[in-house]
Amino acid sequence: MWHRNPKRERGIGPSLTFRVRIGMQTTYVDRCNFLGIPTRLLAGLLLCLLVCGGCFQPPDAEFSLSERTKGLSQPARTGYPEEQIPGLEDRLADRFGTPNVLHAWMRLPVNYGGHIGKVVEVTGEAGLNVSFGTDVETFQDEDRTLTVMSGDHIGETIPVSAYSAESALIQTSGSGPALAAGDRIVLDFGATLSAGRRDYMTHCVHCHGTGGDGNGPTAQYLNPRPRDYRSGVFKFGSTARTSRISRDDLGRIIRNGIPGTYMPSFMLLPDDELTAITEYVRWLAMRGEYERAMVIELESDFSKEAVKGTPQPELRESLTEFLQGEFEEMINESADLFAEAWKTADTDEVIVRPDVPRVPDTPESRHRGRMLFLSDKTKCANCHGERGRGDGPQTQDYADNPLTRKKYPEPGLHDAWGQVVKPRDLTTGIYRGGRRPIDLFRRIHDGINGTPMPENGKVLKDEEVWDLVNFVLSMPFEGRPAVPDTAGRMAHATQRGVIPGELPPAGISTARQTTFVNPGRAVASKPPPATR
Amino acid sequence: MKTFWCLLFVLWPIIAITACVVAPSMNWWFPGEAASPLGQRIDDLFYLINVIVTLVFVGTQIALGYVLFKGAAKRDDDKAWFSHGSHKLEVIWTIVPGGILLFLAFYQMDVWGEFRIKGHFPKDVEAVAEVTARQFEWRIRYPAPGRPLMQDRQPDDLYTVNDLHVPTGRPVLINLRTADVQHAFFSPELRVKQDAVPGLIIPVWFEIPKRGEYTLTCAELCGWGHYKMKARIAAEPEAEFRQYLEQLQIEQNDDGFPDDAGEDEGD
Repeated sequence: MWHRNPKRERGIGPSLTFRVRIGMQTTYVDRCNFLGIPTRLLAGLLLCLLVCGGCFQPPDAEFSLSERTKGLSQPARTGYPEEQIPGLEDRLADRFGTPNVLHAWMRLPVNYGGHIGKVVEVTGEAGLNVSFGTDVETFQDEDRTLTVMSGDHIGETIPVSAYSAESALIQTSGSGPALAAGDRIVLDFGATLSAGRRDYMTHCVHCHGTGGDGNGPTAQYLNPRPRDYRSGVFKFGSTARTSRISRDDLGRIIRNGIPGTYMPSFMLLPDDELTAITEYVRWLAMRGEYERAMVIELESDFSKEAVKGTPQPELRESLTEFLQGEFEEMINESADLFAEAWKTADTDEVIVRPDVPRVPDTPESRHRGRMLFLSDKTKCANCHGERGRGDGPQTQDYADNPLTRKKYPEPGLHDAWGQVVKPRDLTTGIYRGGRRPIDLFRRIHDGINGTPMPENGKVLKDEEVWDLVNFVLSMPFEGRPAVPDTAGRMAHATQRGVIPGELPPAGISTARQTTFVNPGRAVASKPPPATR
Repeated sequence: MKTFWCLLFVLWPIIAITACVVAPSMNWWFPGEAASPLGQRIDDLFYLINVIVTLVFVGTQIALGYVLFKGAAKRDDDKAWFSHGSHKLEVIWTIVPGGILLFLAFYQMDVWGEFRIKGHFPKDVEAVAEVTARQFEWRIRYPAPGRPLMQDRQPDDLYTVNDLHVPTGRPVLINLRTADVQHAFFSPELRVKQDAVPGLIIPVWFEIPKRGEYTLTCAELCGWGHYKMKARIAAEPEAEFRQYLEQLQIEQNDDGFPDDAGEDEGD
């Protein structure tokens, strides 16, 4: 490219122009040529190489530690390695492993997977006659293993080379511990957990993070934030507020997603993958709980300040003694507690069920519900607002942080994860925890775990809860025009005065068009569900 | 060397023509046969255009070859002849392709109209569901069994996600919406693709004669989770479809009371 240089005409000199040209040419060469090969071609070749040759080996994944753990002093975290005294992180790694090498801790109620069986007879050097509880297909594969579950060699693994379903004969490699008839064994121990890890790493990790801390790479773009499982608290379950969530509940959330949030539905995944993910998420939650239990134990046995930040040399002796001695016992006790809680969550006794069937959805029931909603007994309107739009006075208040007993820096309600949580706008018709009457009943009766939504079941009778359910389910249809626009345009819902507490007259229409509730005027009955 | 080039340049048209001829029977163009009658007609249009293009391609190649070989056969001492073009030829090769394009434009109008223009939808088409695309899933709203689909939500509507059930053997219509950004309702087997545009309710109709499961994906890059937006269209006979809705209704009205018939089946 050559432009006439105006300076040259004014006689400033040709040398300047010359330099500029060289300069331009040099840049050109720099940018587009490398050892005579055009860089574009080079980049293309490189890309082809990367694509064809597979990408780089990804860095090893790791379970991140919680902020509280990171705040601990070095000896509390890693112990005294020179004296072989394990710290918190060592214990955590020992019990749970890393994302690449998972450890199965039998203290936890996790279904690690595999085919459970029993040795019937030992035949020869490397043959075992076994009986499995489940169907195992004949295989010939070098990669599979048998894990010993009883006797002296508990936890040890034996490589297996073949299995025949007809003769129920397992061919082992001959190495490893010798087994006897009656020994309990598991083929492919940990299969479910590692399948869960694979599927979790495919579908969930980018939001929920490797360790379930709700801080994956895409998490920062989401509102509400993805759940941090590590406290073991999940919002939407069928179990009582004080208990953990059941496998069914978790599976249901993964299958259906959570409307109104970024949690999508994974309905089309095969059932075994869903089960595996559920199990892996439970396991991650327990890992988080275990980590937290250890921090709490350390903090309560010394003091928060003593185990925090910079190591305190004068603590060395007592800390050594503690880490070596009673620490193990104490955290095992905590682990037993939450393990028991997780186990109970899958039993029928903690499921919240109404004592009475749903109260018929009549105008009178809705009205009673409305009165309850506005009453001091439930204080629903304090957060959800008089019209249920999620704008109650509490959303403008500065609340106390229950942990620090200080006011939060921003107004509004806060959840157990320290984030501002909006009371649900009940007029949108979006129900995060499910839209079945029983879902709403459970939300109202036992509240929502980890949020300020309280257990109203303590102050309300089940009939009253049903009245509230009926009222809440009718809220999205309040204030709509009685006859929708049938011309194909969207009917614009106008929020005309919903007068709290005004008793609706008993004018009931059964026509489809008047199933809308015109505030304070015509209230329509909902067609009874097919069940009754 | 001469033979090599000759053969090479003969080979290409042969490969191209063979590919065009074999492709329909080998299913190279489409993911299987179209599962809907209208899809079949869209495929027919595609093949018609394919045939026309093939004929034109072969014709022009033959003409080109003829000119090249004829020119090569001339002796060296023949003087070059300059032409200022032939008005007649220019007119012919303007009008013929123009005619073909016009023909295509009119010929496909029926199919296009039936697919996209409300007035030309099948008379008996009935809206069965509202499909709302959302980052990153398909939320589906059915009317209660025996009720028409209303534009606004009704208290007895039924909801599912990523699982669209439709009856077989009659044209059905869905109202397509989006809750956030632009998405596209794409079912390759049905040859249906329609953008979902914020603020609009777009009717999309299709007919599935055969029972089966068909893919529904998003065909508009809608965000980081675009790849997650896969759903299923399950086509089943009328009676089963109704049964499905009734089951859904029972599940959705579950009040968890133990004596209830639909007790916790949704769990």
